Amino acid sequence: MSVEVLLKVEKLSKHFQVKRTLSDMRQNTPKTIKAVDNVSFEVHRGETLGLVGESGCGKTTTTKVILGLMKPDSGRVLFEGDDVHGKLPKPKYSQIHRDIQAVFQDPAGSLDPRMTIGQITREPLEIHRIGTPASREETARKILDAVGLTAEQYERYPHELSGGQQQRVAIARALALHPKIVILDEPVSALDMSVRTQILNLLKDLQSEFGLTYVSVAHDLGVIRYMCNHVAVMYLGQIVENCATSELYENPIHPYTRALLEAVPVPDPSARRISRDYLRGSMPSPISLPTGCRFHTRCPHVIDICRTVEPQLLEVTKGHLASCHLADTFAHKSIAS
Amino acid sequence: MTDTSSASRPYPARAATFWRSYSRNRGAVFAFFFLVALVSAAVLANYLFPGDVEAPDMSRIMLPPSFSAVLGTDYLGRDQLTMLVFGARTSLIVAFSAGGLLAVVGTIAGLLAGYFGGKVDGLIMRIADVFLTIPILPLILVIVSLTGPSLLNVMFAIGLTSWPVMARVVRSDSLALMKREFIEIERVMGASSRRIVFKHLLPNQLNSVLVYTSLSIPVVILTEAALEFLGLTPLSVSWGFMLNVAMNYWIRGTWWMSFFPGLAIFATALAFYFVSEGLKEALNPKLKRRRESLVAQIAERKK
Amino acid sequence: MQDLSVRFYLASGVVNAVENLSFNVRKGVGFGIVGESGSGKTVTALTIMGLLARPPGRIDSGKILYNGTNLLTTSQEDMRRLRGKSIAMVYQDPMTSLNPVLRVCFQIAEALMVHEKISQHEAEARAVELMSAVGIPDAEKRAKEYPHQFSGGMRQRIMIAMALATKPDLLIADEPTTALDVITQSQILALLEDLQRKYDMTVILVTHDLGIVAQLCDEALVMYAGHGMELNTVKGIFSHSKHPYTRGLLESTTRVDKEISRLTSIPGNIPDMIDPPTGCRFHPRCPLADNRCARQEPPAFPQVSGGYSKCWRSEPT
Repeated sequence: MSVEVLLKVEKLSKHFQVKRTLSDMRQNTPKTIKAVDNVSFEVHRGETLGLVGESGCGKTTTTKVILGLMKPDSGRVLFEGDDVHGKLPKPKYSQIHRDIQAVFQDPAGSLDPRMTIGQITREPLEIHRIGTPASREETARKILDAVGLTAEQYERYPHELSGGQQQRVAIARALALHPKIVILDEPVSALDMSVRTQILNLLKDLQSEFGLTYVSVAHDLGVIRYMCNHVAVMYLGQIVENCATSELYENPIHPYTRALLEAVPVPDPSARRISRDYLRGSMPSPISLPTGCRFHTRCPHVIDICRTVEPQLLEVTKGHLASCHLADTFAHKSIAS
Repeated sequence: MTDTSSASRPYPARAATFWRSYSRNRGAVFAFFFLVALVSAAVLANYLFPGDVEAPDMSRIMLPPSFSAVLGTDYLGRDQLTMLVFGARTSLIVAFSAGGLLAVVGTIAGLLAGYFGGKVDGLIMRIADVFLTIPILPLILVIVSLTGPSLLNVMFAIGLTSWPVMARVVRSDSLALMKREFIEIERVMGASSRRIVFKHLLPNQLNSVLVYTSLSIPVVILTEAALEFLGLTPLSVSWGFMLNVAMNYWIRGTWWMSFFPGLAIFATALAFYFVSEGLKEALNPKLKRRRESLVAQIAERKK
Repeated sequence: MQDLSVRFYLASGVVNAVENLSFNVRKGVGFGIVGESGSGKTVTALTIMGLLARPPGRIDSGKILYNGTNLLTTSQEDMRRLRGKSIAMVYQDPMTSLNPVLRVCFQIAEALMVHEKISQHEAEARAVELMSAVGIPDAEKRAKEYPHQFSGGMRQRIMIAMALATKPDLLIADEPTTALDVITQSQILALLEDLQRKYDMTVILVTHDLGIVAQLCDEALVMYAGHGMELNTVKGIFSHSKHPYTRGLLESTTRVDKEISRLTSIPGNIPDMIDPPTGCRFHPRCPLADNRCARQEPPAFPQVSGGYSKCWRSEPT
């Protein structure tokens, strides 16, 4: 029995043009940033997909395209089978705006400073003309309660709330319309440690309570492991690995993933391992991408083919995709070696 | 429990709270009453000073302030205080209407340019540039030659040449706001353009809009003065006009002829400024909590 | 450090940034100061360096003894000499800590020229050496470049080179890797560890990341709301801490190495520093709190390891 695919990203590409100088134009050097390059993945109903990567890998741009804030240059985003950017009849269009919601990174920035918490939470209901003013207030109060805010905070302004509370408001607003899928873009990175887990637990609880599907974008691998049941790793605009969470952390295949996992300092002094065999060099500029495999300039296992031929994202072991020429070799080696 | 936030209470209650917050700024209150007094005086001028006010009395020309003429007399022997009050009419009408015109046109242009960006922005800004380059003098000469001198012309001329700068200010604020995350979320939620522009972009820019408008008022008054001096308007009494006339006579030591009109312009401009500052503070949600009554604050702490 | 209290006197109220903080750092040790925002950890670091902005900050009490000298009573002149020569600091944001209009080798050399009175030529040569010591490839060539030509990780290495130029005895690093990505972070941490060993430096590392503390430090101080809650060896903190806040932090940290089905979060919010809770600062959020915790601030009960635990539950029976 396969769970229905709720969101499908198909060969998505998004490029940005950078101003070219005269010498660039003479030499015909391209100046496009391939922020997202041929990215494909699926999100099943009820699951939480993690999109991991360093800054500049394209994960945020991908979410913006999924949310309709940017138009793709090629490829499609299909929500329940419909192309989000296509020509849809008005009711369908409206429905999609109700079903896909988002929570962003900056808790204060995502709330209009001139509106009260109550107004902010009622906003989505007003936009879609749901119910009456009285019923909207009731719904808003209920949702604010569900995210752990008190009744008297209904009339407060965002600046009177702490970061964690502000993020709860953002979550409440996202849930007001009972969406099907919520895109979480670094929902806790701007919060203090002791509050982070509160919000993560809240998100988990709300997921089961409301039957939500999440796409969780983050750079913190610990958060991803806790929140997600499926992970896609991005590097310079491409997906380099895609598999179930436990698979990723126990049997990572792609050298980039392995390097990331080894680099995270573990809060356990007995497992002392500041890894010394780190990657060479630093992340290439997205304007001048390396040939062949984008990761080859830093990969400790690079061979000739890596420099010329771009690897494809293929299924290496069951349910585990990776894009690396040496994927098969790595699949059968544990991370300890 | 019903929502007692300001957006949903009936108007009288909202007005009362607004006044309470506004009145925290004493300068703003004073300025407000000053303007009210000024406007009333201008409106009731005919009743306050009955008779033919504009009739020259050559026997009393250019007298310094005294008991009979508290602010002195002008170059035609008329009482300056009377002239000032009548002049207030013109100056205030022009200030409000031209100021209002430039504020409205400038703000809308700026909002549209900032919200839509791209081609729309380019188009609006090019239009603004065109208007920016139109010098006001030739423009009003053209208008006057076509339709004759009138107050409306003055208003139009000033408004048309001043809105581009306002548009620029609003546009840059709007562009910056469009990048903010709460605006992006509005788009994700499917808010209409109108909603985003008027419910989110505009309120978050009120500061700039208010400040810029209030700073434009004195400029408007003085521009009107210059136009009058050239005889392009039918009016013979306005502060600016009085000022300009006074400039020809100052060498005779008639300081009161320029001082009082000048003071009037200055005071009015300052009043507008204070009012806008008061409005800014009154509308700022970040200051709202401090205005709650002591009782409410104590009750809160006990929780 | 003995009984340090630092307060900020602001128009809106008095912020009790640090209160009665005491701890000792032995030579050559990697010492971590762990805390969230508002814990006072950065203020502590700045106070040691004498870089606290006063006003509005004020050191209301305490002593900071460095090799016997009280830094708080040292003159500005002497502090300046100490800073950069024996005590150096590395800041969080490498983007803004470097002067964008000066060449990199000059910025490193500056410290040398001021403190060791050597010629610019000599200082710059030493600067190049330092740059390769911190792992910048092609140091000779890159020394002539400007900060914007380097990546974030490289800039942080330059900052470290600047700090190490005068071979300080004490290096204070305030969140040195927060602005960097994970891989660069591990490179910088490895560098710090190597350098500490090589130069036998004492390192005070201020951070909110428990992983970094576990990997890099030997002893640590856990701060919360301006108070030193626990002082212990790193092994002690991670395996048998008795302080509820430390335990709360440990239990709520996400892990990369273990699968956890449910983390226990610390309820509530970080307190308002102008009006902090009475008694123990942590009591409103503490699962073990009782009436005494709310009324009376617990003293720092000394522990077997030599550190302390500021909690009534750690009271020796």
